[in-house]
Amino acid sequence: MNPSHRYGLDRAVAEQLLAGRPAWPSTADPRLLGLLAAAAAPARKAELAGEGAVVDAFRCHHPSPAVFPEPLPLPRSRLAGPLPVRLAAAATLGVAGVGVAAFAGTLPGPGPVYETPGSPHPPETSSVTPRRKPAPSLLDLCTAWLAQPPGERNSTSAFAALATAAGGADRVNAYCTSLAGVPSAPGPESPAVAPAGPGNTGRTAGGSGRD
Amino acid sequence: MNDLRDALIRAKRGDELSFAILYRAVQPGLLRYLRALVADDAEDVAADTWLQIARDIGGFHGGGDALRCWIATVGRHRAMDHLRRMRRRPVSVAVADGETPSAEDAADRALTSVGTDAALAMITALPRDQAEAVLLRVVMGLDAPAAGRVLGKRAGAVRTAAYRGLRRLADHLTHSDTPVTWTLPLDTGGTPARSTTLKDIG
Repeated sequence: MNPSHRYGLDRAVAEQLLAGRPAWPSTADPRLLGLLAAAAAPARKAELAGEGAVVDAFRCHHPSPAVFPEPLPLPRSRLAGPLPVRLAAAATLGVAGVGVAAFAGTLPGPGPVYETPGSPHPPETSSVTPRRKPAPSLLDLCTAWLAQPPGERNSTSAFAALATAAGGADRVNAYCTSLAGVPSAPGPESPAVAPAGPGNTGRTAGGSGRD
Repeated sequence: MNDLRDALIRAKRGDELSFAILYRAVQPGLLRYLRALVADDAEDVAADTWLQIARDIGGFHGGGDALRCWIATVGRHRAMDHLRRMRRRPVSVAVADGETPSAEDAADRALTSVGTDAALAMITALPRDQAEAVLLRVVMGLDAPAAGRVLGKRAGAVRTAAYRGLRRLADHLTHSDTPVTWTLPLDTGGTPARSTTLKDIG
C-alpha cells in the first residue's frame, strides 16, 4: 500500500483535519479525529486560572475607560473555536460502526465548558460572565442603579451609560447583576417594565427581579 | 478568527471585558502549545506572554487571525527565552502507557475514553517540528502560512511537518492499544454544582 495513503490520510485529508474541516465522512482514522478533537477541546477551568492577574495587568496599561464608546460586544465565546466541535462531529458521524458515538454525549456544544458556579446568566445576553473585578466606574454605576427602587431606576443618570455599556436598555439588568456578582434569578429583563400583575405589586416585583 | 474582531477592537480601546474575552478564547490553545515546549512551566510562560500582550495590544494592527499568530509568536519567544535561562532543551514527553485505560471487556472498551491531556501528550511526543506544526494548526487555530510565521518557516514546510505528524499519530494509534473513543473532557475540577449542570447538558 502506498504509505502516503495509509490510514486514509493523504495530504489533502491531513489539511482538512488540521484546518478543522474534515470531510464528511472522512477517510481518516476516527481515532485520529478523536485525538485531534480532544487536543482542541474547549477550555478547562484551570487553564483560565490566570485571567484575574492578566486583566489586572491590562488595567494598569489602560487606565479607566469609564464608559464604553459603543455597546459592549459580549459575543458568544468559543474558547477553542469551533474546531473541536467539527472534528468531533466528523468523528462521531463520519465513520460508521466504530464506537466513536460515545463522543457525542460528551460534547458540550459550541459554548464554553466552564462557568462561574453560582452565577447563572441569561444565555442570550452573553456566555461570558465577568469573573474578576470590573472597571470600578461601571461597577459603581451598576451598584447605584441596582440600589434604586425599580420604578425609578431608568430615570437615573447612570442608566444611559449602563444601557450603552450593556448593549441595550433591556440588557442592563442582566449586565449589572452579572457585573456585580449578584446571582440573577429568572425574571423580567428590565425592571422598569416589570408587569404589576395580581399579587405582584411594583415594589415587590422589582425587588425579586434583581436578586 | 473573525469572532475575535469586535473584542479586539474594544480591547485596543482599553475595554477590559473585551480583553478578557480574548484571553479566554486564546489562552487554552496557547497553554497547550507552550506545554509542548516548556512542560510544567507553561503557565508561567503564558502569563509572561499575556503581560506583554496586555501592554502592547493598543499598538497591534490586524484581525483575529493575526492576533492568534501574534500571541503564538510572543509565546514561543518567551518559551525560548525561558529555555535559554534554564539551559535546557524543549521537553519531549513520552506517552505513558498508563494513560490508556485498560478495558475490562469489549463492550466497555468501546466506551473507554481518553481526554485532552493524553491527546496532547501524544502530540508532544512527536518530533518537535511536527509537534509544533500540529499544535499551532489544531490547537492555536492558525493556518499554514501563519504557523510558518510563528516558526520562521515557509508554509509548505509547516504543511509537511504537520502531515508527517498526523501520519505518525495515526501509526501510533494503529499499533498501540489506544482506545477507540476520545472524550472531550469536561472539567473534572469543577464544583458539584457545575457537575450537575454538565450532567443536565449531557
